[in-house]
Amino acid sequence: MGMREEIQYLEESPFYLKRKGEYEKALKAYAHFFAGALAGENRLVAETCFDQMFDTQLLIYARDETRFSGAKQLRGRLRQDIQATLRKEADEMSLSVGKLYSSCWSRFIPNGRGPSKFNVDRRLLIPNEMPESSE
Amino acid sequence: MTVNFYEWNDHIDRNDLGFDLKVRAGRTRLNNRLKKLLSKNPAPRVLPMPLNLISYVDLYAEQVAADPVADMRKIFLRLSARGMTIGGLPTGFPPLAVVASDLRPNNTAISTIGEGLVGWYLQQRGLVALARPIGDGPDFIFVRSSVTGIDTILVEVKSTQQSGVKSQMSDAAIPRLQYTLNCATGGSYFSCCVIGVIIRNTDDFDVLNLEIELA
Repeated sequence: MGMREEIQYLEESPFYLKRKGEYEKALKAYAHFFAGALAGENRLVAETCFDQMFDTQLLIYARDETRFSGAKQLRGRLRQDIQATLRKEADEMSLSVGKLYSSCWSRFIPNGRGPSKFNVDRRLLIPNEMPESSE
Repeated sequence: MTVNFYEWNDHIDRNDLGFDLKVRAGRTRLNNRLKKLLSKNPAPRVLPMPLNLISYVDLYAEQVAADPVADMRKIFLRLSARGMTIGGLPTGFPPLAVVASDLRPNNTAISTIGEGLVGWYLQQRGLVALARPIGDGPDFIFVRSSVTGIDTILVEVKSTQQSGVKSQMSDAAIPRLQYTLNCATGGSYFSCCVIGVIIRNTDDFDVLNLEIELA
């Protein structure tokens, strides 16, 4: 693989783009594979891509210093932003997207079931979170 | 400054695999099948070593390491200085009676070099890195777009400084096959790769790829 081919290859790899900090491009690449996985009923790739999209979106908020007043506001914004990204790649939103989103959300705000596995701490995004506002 | 690639390919019917994995006799049969496959000696494909190996280590390795190649260089130097071959055999000129087992290489250096090298190897095959689960299996999820959707290749890496990696590979393949089977939904292509890396010296590597497609 020559230098030019390697650069082209790496620009397609969402993993590489995310590691490099090119989050918008990584989101787009993950959405592309997510749409392909849904069409082929490839659950593993769909779940992996969705997890990564969720994490990448959180990283974008952290990078841009976007802060939220509570979990409800963050949840709404996440859903909106992820849907907007997916809409560019997939015409029809599958029903499974809702389940995947809920699964990611419950892992991000684990509700006493251990720490979140995502890269961003919820306390960073919701600095003034009240205990009762968590979902 | 070369990397020797050895590749073994097989395919197993998903139903047969599910049946074999359920019973002890089936797992033994499967293990024997993999060992038999690995006992064949395919001709190696030789490629020049990547000049920027450390950048692949930075990209693909689970652990962060500053210079794992320097760590390995040091162990090989000390082994050779003590009258031992790289594999730990006495050369006949031992200046000191120190056996190779007294010198233990840095395990992080071994695993990070192996993972970096495997990432590079899979890139050469045109596969796209999707994720690198941390503290969880498999080591890598690679994909490629195909006419039937997204082909998925789940990768486990076993790195060592010495020979004997083949038995590690066949043992690791059974749980990895179970995982791959559990994940193999829909009609998509799924394969399980167990890749062994032997670090013979800091400029001489063997990459052994056992790839099993779930038909």
